Amino acid sequence: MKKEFRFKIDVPKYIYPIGRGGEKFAEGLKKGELYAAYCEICDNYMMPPSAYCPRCFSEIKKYEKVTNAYLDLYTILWKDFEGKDLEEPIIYGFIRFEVDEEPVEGGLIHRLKVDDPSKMVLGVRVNPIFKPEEERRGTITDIEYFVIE
Amino acid sequence: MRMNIHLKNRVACVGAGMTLFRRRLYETSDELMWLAAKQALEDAGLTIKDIDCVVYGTAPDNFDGIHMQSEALADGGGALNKPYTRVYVGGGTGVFSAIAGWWHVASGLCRRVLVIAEEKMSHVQPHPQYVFHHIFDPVTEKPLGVNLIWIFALEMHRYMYKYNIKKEDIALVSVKNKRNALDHPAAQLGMKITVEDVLNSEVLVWPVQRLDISPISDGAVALVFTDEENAKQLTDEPIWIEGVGWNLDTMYWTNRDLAFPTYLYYAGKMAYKMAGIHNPRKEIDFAEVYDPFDYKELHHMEGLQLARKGEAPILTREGVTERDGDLPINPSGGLLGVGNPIAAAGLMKVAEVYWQLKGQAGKRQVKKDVVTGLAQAWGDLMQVGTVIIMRR
Repeated sequence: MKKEFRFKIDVPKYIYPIGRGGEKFAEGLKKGELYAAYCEICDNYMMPPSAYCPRCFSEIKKYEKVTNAYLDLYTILWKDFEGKDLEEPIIYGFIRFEVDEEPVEGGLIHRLKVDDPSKMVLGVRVNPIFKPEEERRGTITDIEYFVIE
Repeated sequence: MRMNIHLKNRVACVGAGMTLFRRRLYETSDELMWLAAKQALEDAGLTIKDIDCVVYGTAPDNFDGIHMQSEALADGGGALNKPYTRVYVGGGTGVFSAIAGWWHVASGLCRRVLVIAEEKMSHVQPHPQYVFHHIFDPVTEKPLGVNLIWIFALEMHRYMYKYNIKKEDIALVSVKNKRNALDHPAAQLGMKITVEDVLNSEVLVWPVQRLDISPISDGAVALVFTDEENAKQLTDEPIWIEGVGWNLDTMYWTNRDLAFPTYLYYAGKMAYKMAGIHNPRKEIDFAEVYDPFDYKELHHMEGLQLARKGEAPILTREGVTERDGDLPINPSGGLLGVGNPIAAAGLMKVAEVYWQLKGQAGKRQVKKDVVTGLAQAWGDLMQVGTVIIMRR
Protein backbone atom coordinates (compact mmCIF):
# COMPACT_ATOMS: atom_id res chain seq x y z
CA MET A 1 0.00 0.00 0.00
CA LYS A 2 1.25 3.46 -0.85
CA LYS A 3 1.68 5.64 2.17
CA GLU A 4 2.95 8.70 0.39
CA PHE A 5 2.32 10.31 -2.95
CA ARG A 6 5.15 11.98 -4.78
CA PHE A 7 4.60 14.46 -7.55
CA LYS A 8 7.06 16.47 -9.48
CA ILE A 9 5.65 19.95 -9.87
CA ASP A 10 6.31 20.98 -13.45
CA VAL A 11 7.58 24.45 -12.71
CA PRO A 12 6.36 26.65 -15.53
CA LYS A 13 8.67 29.07 -17.27
CA TYR A 14 8.22 32.78 -16.79
CA ILE A 15 8.63 35.66 -19.19
CA TYR A 16 8.86 39.14 -17.70
CA PRO A 17 8.66 42.38 -19.62
CA ILE A 18 11.36 44.85 -18.71
CA GLY A 19 8.75 47.55 -18.09
CA ARG A 20 9.03 51.31 -18.27
CA GLY A 21 11.56 51.77 -15.44
CA GLY A 22 13.64 48.70 -16.28
CA GLU A 23 14.07 49.85 -19.87
CA LYS A 24 16.40 52.71 -18.90
CA PHE A 25 18.39 50.44 -16.58
CA ALA A 26 18.83 47.80 -19.31
CA GLU A 27 19.85 50.39 -21.92
CA GLY A 28 22.52 51.65 -19.51
CA LEU A 29 23.89 48.17 -18.83
CA LYS A 30 24.29 47.56 -22.55
CA LYS A 31 26.32 50.75 -22.78
CA GLY A 32 28.34 49.78 -19.70
CA GLU A 33 26.70 52.48 -17.58
CA LEU A 34 24.47 52.56 -14.50
CA TYR A 35 21.50 54.91 -14.28
CA ALA A 36 19.55 56.10 -11.25
CA ALA A 37 16.00 57.47 -11.43
CA TYR A 38 15.56 61.06 -10.29
CA CYS A 39 12.30 62.32 -8.78
CA GLU A 40 12.14 66.06 -9.36
CA ILE A 41 9.36 66.55 -6.79
CA CYS A 42 11.12 64.74 -3.92
CA ASP A 43 14.64 65.67 -5.11
CA ASN A 44 15.68 62.05 -4.72
CA TYR A 45 17.79 59.60 -6.74
CA MET A 46 16.80 55.93 -6.73
CA MET A 47 18.59 52.69 -7.66
CA PRO A 48 17.42 50.47 -9.25
CA PRO A 49 15.53 53.05 -11.32
CA SER A 50 11.74 52.76 -11.43
CA ALA A 51 9.13 54.38 -13.66
CA TYR A 52 7.51 56.25 -10.77
CA CYS A 53 8.35 57.67 -7.37
CA PRO A 54 6.99 55.43 -4.60
CA ARG A 55 6.65 58.45 -2.30
CA CYS A 56 4.83 61.06 -4.36
CA PHE A 57 3.63 58.78 -7.21
CA SER A 58 4.85 61.17 -9.91
CA GLU A 59 6.23 59.81 -13.16
CA ILE A 60 10.02 59.70 -13.39
CA LYS A 61 11.17 61.88 -16.26
CA LYS A 62 14.90 62.01 -15.58
CA TYR A 63 17.48 59.23 -15.37
CA GLU A 64 21.01 60.18 -14.38
CA LYS A 65 24.24 58.26 -14.83
CA VAL A 66 25.82 57.36 -11.48
CA THR A 67 29.25 58.89 -10.95
CA ASN A 68 30.49 57.03 -7.89
CA ALA A 69 30.03 53.57 -6.35
CA TYR A 70 31.14 52.40 -2.90
CA LEU A 71 30.99 49.28 -0.77
CA ASP A 72 28.36 49.67 1.94
CA LEU A 73 28.30 46.08 3.27
CA TYR A 74 29.55 42.64 2.29
CA THR A 75 29.03 38.99 3.10
CA ILE A 76 30.96 35.85 2.16
CA LEU A 77 29.23 32.73 0.83
CA TRP A 78 30.86 29.42 1.77
CA LYS A 79 28.12 26.88 1.04
CA ASP A 80 25.96 26.10 -1.99
CA PHE A 81 22.17 25.50 -2.08
CA GLU A 82 22.55 21.96 -0.77
CA GLY A 83 24.87 22.93 2.04
CA LYS A 84 28.05 21.67 0.35
CA ASP A 85 31.28 23.66 0.52
CA LEU A 86 31.93 25.93 -2.43
CA GLU A 87 35.25 25.47 -4.20
CA GLU A 88 35.92 29.16 -3.75
CA PRO A 89 33.95 31.39 -1.38
CA ILE A 90 31.93 34.10 -3.15
CA ILE A 91 31.90 37.66 -1.84
CA TYR A 92 28.68 39.61 -2.26
CA GLY A 93 28.80 43.34 -1.77
CA PHE A 94 25.97 45.78 -1.18
CA ILE A 95 26.95 48.60 -3.49
CA ARG A 96 25.65 52.12 -3.00
CA PHE A 97 25.92 54.95 -5.51
CA GLU A 98 26.19 58.70 -5.88
CA VAL A 99 25.29 61.10 -8.66
CA ASP A 100 27.62 64.12 -8.59
CA GLU A 101 28.21 63.58 -4.86
CA GLU A 102 24.45 63.40 -4.18
CA PRO A 103 23.43 60.15 -2.42
CA VAL A 104 21.28 57.61 -4.28
CA GLU A 105 18.55 55.78 -2.34
CA GLY A 106 18.90 51.98 -2.51
CA GLY A 107 21.66 50.20 -4.38
CA LEU A 108 22.61 46.87 -5.91
CA ILE A 109 23.82 43.57 -4.57
CA HIS A 110 26.54 42.09 -6.74
CA ARG A 111 29.64 39.93 -6.70
CA LEU A 112 32.84 41.48 -5.52
CA LYS A 113 36.27 40.40 -6.78
CA VAL A 114 38.92 41.05 -4.17
CA ASP A 115 42.64 40.53 -4.73
CA ASP A 116 43.80 42.05 -1.47
CA PRO A 117 41.42 41.34 1.49
CA SER A 118 43.04 44.10 3.54
CA LYS A 119 41.41 46.60 1.14
CA MET A 120 37.91 45.27 1.89
CA VAL A 121 36.84 48.15 4.13
CA LEU A 122 33.30 49.46 4.42
CA GLY A 123 32.95 52.66 2.44
CA VAL A 124 35.73 51.93 -0.02
CA ARG A 125 35.19 53.03 -3.63
CA VAL A 126 34.35 50.23 -6.09
CA ASN A 127 33.92 50.02 -9.87
CA PRO A 128 31.76 47.74 -12.00
CA ILE A 129 33.55 45.49 -14.47
CA PHE A 130 31.31 44.93 -17.47
CA LYS A 131 31.44 42.06 -19.92
CA PRO A 132 32.78 42.89 -23.39
CA GLU A 133 30.24 44.99 -25.30
CA GLU A 134 29.30 42.26 -27.78
CA GLU A 135 28.34 39.91 -24.92
CA ARG A 136 26.10 42.37 -23.07
CA ARG A 137 22.36 41.68 -23.18
CA GLY A 138 20.93 44.43 -21.01
CA THR A 139 20.72 42.26 -17.87
CA ILE A 140 22.28 42.50 -14.41
CA THR A 141 24.83 39.82 -15.37
CA ASP A 142 26.28 42.24 -17.96
CA ILE A 143 28.24 43.33 -14.88
CA GLU A 144 30.71 40.53 -14.14
CA TYR A 145 31.59 41.85 -10.70
CA PHE A 146 32.71 44.96 -8.85
CA VAL A 147 36.35 45.59 -7.95
CA ILE A 148 37.85 47.76 -5.25
CA GLU A 149 39.40 50.90 -6.71
CA MET B 1 -28.59 53.53 6.67
CA ARG B 2 -30.40 50.24 7.13
CA MET B 3 -27.48 48.10 8.13
CA ASN B 4 -27.99 45.34 10.66
CA ILE B 5 -24.57 45.65 12.24
CA HIS B 6 -22.91 48.40 14.18
CA LEU B 7 -20.47 50.32 12.03
CA LYS B 8 -18.27 53.16 13.06
CA ASN B 9 -18.36 54.74 9.61
CA ARG B 10 -20.51 54.67 6.53
CA VAL B 11 -18.22 54.00 3.57
CA ALA B 12 -18.20 55.70 0.17
CA CYS B 13 -16.33 55.09 -3.05
CA VAL B 14 -14.98 58.40 -4.35
CA GLY B 15 -12.62 57.41 -7.16
CA ALA B 16 -11.86 54.67 -9.67
CA GLY B 17 -9.20 53.94 -12.28
CA MET B 18 -8.08 51.09 -14.47
CA THR B 19 -5.45 50.16 -17.04
CA LEU B 20 -6.12 48.53 -20.38
CA PHE B 21 -6.89 44.81 -20.15
CA ARG B 22 -4.68 42.99 -22.66
CA ARG B 23 -3.22 39.54 -23.33
CA ARG B 24 0.27 40.85 -22.59
CA LEU B 25 1.13 44.34 -21.33
CA TYR B 26 4.61 45.82 -21.49
CA GLU B 27 4.44 47.39 -18.02
CA THR B 28 5.57 45.41 -14.97
CA SER B 29 3.05 44.37 -12.30
CA ASP B 30 3.92 47.25 -9.97
CA GLU B 31 3.81 49.75 -12.88
CA LEU B 32 0.26 48.59 -13.69
CA MET B 33 -0.74 49.08 -10.05
CA TRP B 34 0.76 52.57 -10.10
CA LEU B 35 -1.09 53.52 -13.33
CA ALA B 36 -4.47 52.37 -11.99
CA ALA B 37 -3.88 53.89 -8.54
CA LYS B 38 -2.83 57.25 -10.00
CA GLN B 39 -6.03 57.40 -12.06
CA ALA B 40 -8.23 56.53 -9.07
CA LEU B 41 -6.52 59.17 -6.91
CA GLU B 42 -6.91 61.82 -9.61
CA ASP B 43 -10.59 60.87 -9.95
CA ALA B 44 -11.00 61.32 -6.18
CA GLY B 45 -9.04 64.60 -6.15
CA LEU B 46 -6.47 63.13 -3.76
CA THR B 47 -2.76 62.33 -3.80
CA ILE B 48 -1.02 59.24 -2.46
CA LYS B 49 -0.07 61.25 0.64
CA ASP B 50 -3.78 61.51 1.57
CA ILE B 51 -4.09 57.73 1.74
CA ASP B 52 -3.98 56.07 5.21
CA CYS B 53 -3.69 52.46 4.15
CA VAL B 54 -3.60 50.22 1.11
CA VAL B 55 -5.43 46.97 0.37
CA TYR B 56 -4.12 44.81 -2.43
CA GLY B 57 -5.64 41.83 -4.21
CA THR B 58 -4.05 39.38 -6.61
CA ALA B 59 -4.48 35.71 -7.51
CA PRO B 60 -1.83 33.01 -6.83
CA ASP B 61 1.80 34.12 -6.56
CA ASN B 62 2.49 31.48 -9.20
CA PHE B 63 1.14 33.70 -11.96
CA ASP B 64 3.95 36.15 -11.33
CA GLY B 65 6.45 33.52 -10.16
CA ILE B 66 7.38 35.77 -7.23
CA HIS B 67 6.57 34.58 -3.74
CA MET B 68 5.32 37.21 -1.31
CA GLN B 69 4.18 39.01 -4.40
CA SER B 70 2.15 41.63 -2.56
CA GLU B 71 5.19 42.84 -0.66
CA ALA B 72 7.33 42.76 -3.80
CA LEU B 73 4.87 45.07 -5.52
CA ALA B 74 4.04 47.36 -2.58
CA ASP B 75 5.73 50.42 -4.11
CA GLY B 76 3.29 50.38 -7.04
CA GLY B 77 0.44 50.53 -4.56
CA GLY B 78 1.94 53.54 -2.80
CA ALA B 79 2.15 51.42 0.36
CA LEU B 80 5.52 52.70 1.55
CA ASN B 81 5.33 53.30 5.33
CA LYS B 82 1.60 52.60 5.40
CA PRO B 83 -0.48 49.75 6.82
CA TYR B 84 -0.73 47.34 3.87
CA THR B 85 -2.88 44.24 3.55
CA ARG B 86 -3.17 41.59 0.91
CA VAL B 87 -6.35 39.55 0.71
CA TYR B 88 -6.75 36.42 -1.35
CA VAL B 89 -9.76 34.26 -2.13
CA GLY B 90 -8.78 33.06 -5.61
CA GLY B 91 -11.05 34.38 -8.37
CA GLY B 92 -13.23 36.06 -5.74
CA THR B 93 -10.32 38.31 -4.74
CA GLY B 94 -11.29 41.37 -6.80
CA VAL B 95 -14.58 41.92 -5.03
CA PHE B 96 -13.12 40.68 -1.74
CA SER B 97 -10.37 43.32 -1.85
CA ALA B 98 -13.16 45.92 -2.08
CA ILE B 99 -14.86 44.25 0.91
CA ALA B 100 -11.56 44.41 2.84
CA GLY B 101 -11.19 48.09 1.88
CA TRP B 102 -14.72 48.64 3.16
CA TRP B 103 -14.02 47.14 6.60
CA HIS B 104 -10.83 49.19 6.98
CA VAL B 105 -13.00 52.34 6.79
CA ALA B 106 -16.23 50.96 8.34
CA SER B 107 -14.34 49.91 11.47
CA GLY B 108 -12.90 53.39 11.94
CA LEU B 109 -9.37 52.01 11.58
CA CYS B 110 -8.57 54.07 8.48
CA ARG B 111 -10.06 57.11 6.87
CA ARG B 112 -8.97 56.89 3.24
CA VAL B 113 -8.13 53.54 1.72
CA LEU B 114 -6.66 52.74 -1.67
CA VAL B 115 -7.90 49.38 -2.95
CA ILE B 116 -5.89 47.88 -5.82
CA ALA B 117 -6.29 44.60 -7.66
CA GLU B 118 -3.72 43.57 -10.24
CA GLU B 119 -3.00 40.49 -12.28
CA LYS B 120 -0.44 39.54 -14.88
CA MET B 121 -1.28 36.13 -16.24
CA SER B 122 1.06 36.59 -19.20
CA HIS B 123 4.25 35.88 -17.21
CA VAL B 124 3.59 32.19 -16.80
CA GLN B 125 4.48 30.01 -19.78
CA PRO B 126 3.31 28.19 -21.73
CA HIS B 127 -0.14 28.71 -20.16
CA PRO B 128 -1.66 29.60 -16.76
CA GLN B 129 -3.41 26.20 -16.78
CA TYR B 130 -0.08 24.82 -15.55
CA VAL B 131 -0.60 26.78 -12.34
CA PHE B 132 -4.24 25.76 -12.00
CA HIS B 133 -3.27 22.09 -12.20
CA HIS B 134 -1.93 22.39 -8.67
CA ILE B 135 -5.19 23.31 -7.01
CA PHE B 136 -6.35 19.70 -7.26
CA ASP B 137 -6.20 16.96 -4.64
CA PRO B 138 -2.83 15.18 -4.92
CA VAL B 139 -4.29 11.76 -4.04
CA THR B 140 -7.57 11.51 -5.92
CA GLU B 141 -7.42 14.03 -8.76
CA LYS B 142 -3.94 15.21 -9.75
CA PRO B 143 -2.76 11.81 -11.03
CA LEU B 144 -5.55 11.98 -13.63
CA GLY B 145 -3.95 14.99 -15.35
CA VAL B 146 -6.90 17.30 -14.84
CA ASN B 147 -7.05 20.99 -15.64
CA LEU B 148 -9.33 23.73 -14.40
CA ILE B 149 -11.81 23.78 -17.26
CA TRP B 150 -13.13 20.30 -16.60
CA ILE B 151 -14.79 21.35 -13.35
CA PHE B 152 -16.59 24.07 -15.26
CA ALA B 153 -17.51 21.67 -18.03
CA LEU B 154 -19.12 19.26 -15.55
CA GLU B 155 -20.92 22.11 -13.77
CA MET B 156 -22.18 23.53 -17.08
CA HIS B 157 -23.39 20.08 -18.09
CA ARG B 158 -25.24 19.65 -14.77
CA TYR B 159 -26.88 23.08 -15.11
CA MET B 160 -27.97 22.38 -18.71
CA TYR B 161 -29.28 18.92 -17.84
CA LYS B 162 -31.23 19.92 -14.72
CA TYR B 163 -33.10 22.84 -16.27
CA ASN B 164 -33.12 21.58 -19.87
CA ILE B 165 -31.13 24.58 -21.09
CA LYS B 166 -29.92 24.70 -24.66
CA LYS B 167 -26.38 25.68 -25.60
CA GLU B 168 -27.92 28.31 -27.90
CA ASP B 169 -29.40 30.13 -24.89
CA ILE B 170 -26.11 30.05 -22.98
CA ALA B 171 -24.25 31.38 -26.04
CA LEU B 172 -26.44 34.51 -25.96
CA VAL B 173 -24.52 35.63 -22.85
CA SER B 174 -21.22 35.57 -24.75
CA VAL B 175 -22.79 37.43 -27.68
CA LYS B 176 -24.19 40.12 -25.35
CA ASN B 177 -21.09 40.62 -23.22
CA LYS B 178 -18.64 40.77 -26.10
CA ARG B 179 -20.93 43.29 -27.82
CA ASN B 180 -21.18 45.37 -24.62
CA ALA B 181 -17.38 45.39 -24.40
CA LEU B 182 -17.16 47.15 -27.78
CA ASP B 183 -18.08 50.31 -25.86
CA HIS B 184 -15.45 49.81 -23.14
CA PRO B 185 -12.23 51.74 -23.90
CA ALA B 186 -10.09 49.28 -21.87
CA ALA B 187 -11.62 46.08 -23.25
CA GLN B 188 -9.59 43.22 -24.66
CA LEU B 189 -12.24 41.18 -26.51
CA GLY B 190 -15.08 43.45 -27.55
CA MET B 191 -16.55 41.99 -30.73
CA LYS B 192 -19.68 41.41 -32.70
CA ILE B 193 -20.37 37.69 -32.82
CA THR B 194 -23.43 35.49 -33.33
CA VAL B 195 -24.78 32.46 -31.51
CA GLU B 196 -23.61 30.39 -34.48
CA ASP B 197 -20.04 31.68 -34.01
CA VAL B 198 -20.09 30.45 -30.41
CA LEU B 199 -21.56 27.08 -31.36
CA ASN B 200 -19.02 26.65 -34.16
CA SER B 201 -15.97 27.64 -32.10
CA GLU B 202 -13.57 24.84 -31.14
CA VAL B 203 -14.55 22.52 -28.32
CA LEU B 204 -12.09 22.80 -25.42
CA VAL B 205 -13.62 20.53 -22.75
CA TRP B 206 -17.14 19.55 -23.81
CA PRO B 207 -19.53 21.36 -23.47
CA VAL B 208 -17.17 24.35 -23.03
CA GLN B 209 -16.14 25.91 -26.35
CA ARG B 210 -13.65 28.64 -27.16
CA LEU B 211 -16.19 31.48 -27.24
CA ASP B 212 -17.85 30.33 -23.99
CA ILE B 213 -14.73 31.26 -22.07
CA SER B 214 -12.95 34.46 -20.98
CA PRO B 215 -9.36 35.16 -22.08
CA ILE B 216 -6.00 35.28 -20.30
CA SER B 217 -5.31 38.91 -19.42
CA ASP B 218 -3.04 41.47 -17.77
CA GLY B 219 -4.45 44.53 -16.02
CA ALA B 220 -5.00 46.53 -12.84
CA VAL B 221 -7.91 48.41 -11.24
CA ALA B 222 -7.96 50.77 -8.26
CA LEU B 223 -10.66 52.38 -6.10
CA VAL B 224 -10.57 54.95 -3.31
CA PHE B 225 -12.84 54.46 -0.28
CA THR B 226 -13.41 56.98 2.47
CA ASP B 227 -15.72 57.73 5.38
CA GLU B 228 -18.92 59.79 5.19
CA GLU B 229 -17.52 63.06 6.46
CA ASN B 230 -14.55 63.01 4.10
CA ALA B 231 -16.64 61.78 1.17
CA LYS B 232 -18.97 64.76 1.49
CA GLN B 233 -16.00 67.13 1.44
CA LEU B 234 -14.67 65.50 -1.72
CA THR B 235 -17.83 65.13 -3.79
CA ASP B 236 -21.52 65.98 -3.99
CA GLU B 237 -22.25 62.49 -5.25
CA PRO B 238 -20.51 59.84 -3.17
CA ILE B 239 -21.37 56.26 -4.07
CA TRP B 240 -22.17 54.39 -0.86
CA ILE B 241 -21.20 50.84 -0.09
CA GLU B 242 -24.33 49.51 1.54
CA GLY B 243 -23.85 45.79 1.77
CA VAL B 244 -21.09 43.20 1.62
CA GLY B 245 -21.24 39.44 1.80
CA TRP B 246 -19.04 36.42 1.31
CA ASN B 247 -19.47 32.73 1.82
CA LEU B 248 -17.61 29.45 1.34
CA ASP B 249 -19.05 26.15 0.11
CA THR B 250 -17.49 22.71 0.74
CA MET B 251 -13.89 22.14 -0.35
CA TYR B 252 -14.96 19.09 -2.36
CA TRP B 253 -16.46 20.13 -5.67
CA THR B 254 -18.09 16.68 -5.79
CA ASN B 255 -20.18 17.62 -2.74
CA ARG B 256 -21.58 20.87 -4.14
CA ASP B 257 -24.94 21.43 -5.77
CA LEU B 258 -23.52 21.99 -9.23
CA ALA B 259 -26.82 23.23 -10.67
CA PHE B 260 -27.11 26.05 -8.13
CA PRO B 261 -24.31 28.19 -6.60
CA THR B 262 -25.10 27.77 -2.90
CA TYR B 263 -21.97 29.77 -1.95
CA LEU B 264 -23.44 32.77 -3.72
CA TYR B 265 -26.95 32.34 -2.36
CA TYR B 266 -25.58 32.77 1.17
CA ALA B 267 -23.11 35.54 0.25
CA GLY B 268 -25.95 37.42 -1.46
CA LYS B 269 -28.26 36.94 1.53
CA MET B 270 -25.61 38.42 3.82
CA ALA B 271 -25.17 41.48 1.59
CA TYR B 272 -28.93 41.94 1.03
CA LYS B 273 -29.60 41.84 4.76
CA MET B 274 -26.97 44.48 5.40
CA ALA B 275 -28.32 46.69 2.61
CA GLY B 276 -31.95 46.17 3.71
CA ILE B 277 -32.92 44.49 0.46
CA HIS B 278 -35.89 42.12 0.64
CA ASN B 279 -36.65 41.55 -3.03
CA PRO B 280 -33.38 41.54 -5.02
CA ARG B 281 -35.10 41.13 -8.39
CA LYS B 282 -36.98 44.41 -7.81
CA GLU B 283 -34.48 46.36 -5.72
CA ILE B 284 -31.24 45.67 -7.62
CA ASP B 285 -31.28 47.93 -10.69
CA PHE B 286 -28.35 46.29 -12.49
CA ALA B 287 -25.56 43.87 -11.68
CA GLU B 288 -22.04 42.96 -12.64
CA VAL B 289 -22.05 39.21 -12.01
CA TYR B 290 -18.98 37.04 -12.44
CA ASP B 291 -18.85 35.63 -15.96
CA PRO B 292 -15.57 33.82 -16.67
CA PHE B 293 -17.82 31.46 -18.66
CA ASP B 294 -21.12 32.37 -20.30
CA TYR B 295 -23.16 29.82 -18.26
CA LYS B 296 -21.71 31.30 -15.04
CA GLU B 297 -23.51 34.60 -15.61
CA LEU B 298 -26.81 32.68 -15.66
CA HIS B 299 -25.78 30.49 -12.74
CA HIS B 300 -24.80 33.51 -10.68
CA MET B 301 -27.96 35.50 -11.51
CA GLU B 302 -29.91 32.62 -10.00
CA GLY B 303 -27.62 32.34 -6.97
CA LEU B 304 -28.14 36.05 -6.34
CA GLN B 305 -31.95 35.61 -6.60
CA LEU B 306 -32.01 37.95 -9.59
CA ALA B 307 -33.75 35.11 -11.44
CA ARG B 308 -35.57 31.98 -10.31
CA LYS B 309 -33.78 28.64 -10.72
CA GLY B 310 -33.52 27.87 -14.42
CA GLU B 311 -35.03 31.24 -15.35
CA ALA B 312 -31.86 33.24 -16.18
CA PRO B 313 -31.57 31.85 -19.75
CA ILE B 314 -35.19 32.87 -20.41
CA LEU B 315 -34.58 36.43 -19.14
CA THR B 316 -31.49 36.58 -21.34
CA ARG B 317 -33.39 35.36 -24.41
CA GLU B 318 -36.10 37.97 -23.76
CA GLY B 319 -33.53 40.79 -23.65
CA VAL B 320 -34.11 41.62 -19.97
CA THR B 321 -30.36 41.56 -19.27
CA GLU B 322 -29.39 43.87 -22.15
CA ARG B 323 -28.19 47.40 -21.39
CA ASP B 324 -31.60 48.78 -22.29
CA GLY B 325 -33.42 45.92 -20.54
CA ASP B 326 -35.23 45.84 -17.22
CA LEU B 327 -32.29 44.20 -15.40
CA PRO B 328 -29.01 44.99 -17.19
CA ILE B 329 -26.37 42.35 -16.42
CA ASN B 330 -22.70 43.03 -17.11
CA PRO B 331 -23.13 46.33 -18.96
CA SER B 332 -19.31 46.64 -18.87
CA GLY B 333 -18.89 43.63 -21.12
CA GLY B 334 -17.82 41.44 -18.20
CA LEU B 335 -14.91 39.06 -18.14
CA LEU B 336 -15.98 37.59 -21.48
CA GLY B 337 -15.62 40.96 -23.19
CA VAL B 338 -13.43 43.30 -21.12
CA GLY B 339 -11.02 40.50 -20.15
CA ASN B 340 -10.14 38.39 -17.15
CA PRO B 341 -7.00 39.49 -15.25
CA ILE B 342 -8.43 37.56 -12.32
CA ALA B 343 -8.36 39.84 -9.26
CA ALA B 344 -8.42 42.98 -11.44
CA ALA B 345 -11.46 41.64 -13.33
CA GLY B 346 -13.43 41.36 -10.09
CA LEU B 347 -12.52 44.89 -9.02
CA MET B 348 -13.32 46.13 -12.56
CA LYS B 349 -16.89 45.02 -11.83
CA VAL B 350 -16.99 47.13 -8.66
CA ALA B 351 -15.54 50.07 -10.65
CA GLU B 352 -18.25 49.58 -13.30
CA VAL B 353 -20.98 49.76 -10.64
CA TYR B 354 -19.36 53.00 -9.41
CA TRP B 355 -19.22 54.50 -12.93
CA GLN B 356 -22.81 53.43 -13.75
CA LEU B 357 -24.18 54.90 -10.50
CA LYS B 358 -22.24 58.12 -11.14
CA GLY B 359 -23.62 58.27 -14.68
CA GLN B 360 -20.02 58.22 -15.96
CA ALA B 361 -20.14 54.99 -17.95
CA GLY B 362 -20.23 56.84 -21.27
CA LYS B 363 -21.45 54.67 -24.13
CA ARG B 364 -21.90 51.82 -21.66
CA GLN B 365 -24.40 53.73 -19.51
CA VAL B 366 -27.52 51.63 -18.95
CA LYS B 367 -30.74 53.14 -20.25
CA LYS B 368 -32.81 53.10 -17.07
CA ASP B 369 -32.18 55.33 -14.07
CA VAL B 370 -30.11 53.34 -11.60
CA VAL B 371 -29.81 53.76 -7.84
CA THR B 372 -28.62 50.37 -6.60
CA GLY B 373 -26.00 48.17 -8.24
CA LEU B 374 -24.31 44.92 -7.32
CA ALA B 375 -20.93 43.41 -8.17
CA GLN B 376 -20.00 39.81 -7.53
CA ALA B 377 -17.09 37.43 -7.98
CA TRP B 378 -16.44 33.72 -7.51
CA GLY B 379 -13.30 31.84 -6.64
CA ASP B 380 -11.11 29.88 -4.26
CA LEU B 381 -11.50 26.21 -5.24
CA MET B 382 -14.60 27.33 -7.17
CA GLN B 383 -16.55 27.57 -3.92
CA VAL B 384 -16.42 31.17 -2.64
CA GLY B 385 -18.91 33.92 -3.41
CA THR B 386 -18.09 37.61 -2.81
CA VAL B 387 -20.74 40.32 -3.14
CA ILE B 388 -20.83 44.11 -2.79
CA ILE B 389 -23.87 46.38 -3.10
CA MET B 390 -23.54 50.10 -3.84
CA ARG B 391 -26.05 52.96 -3.95
CA ARG B 392 -25.97 56.56 -5.00
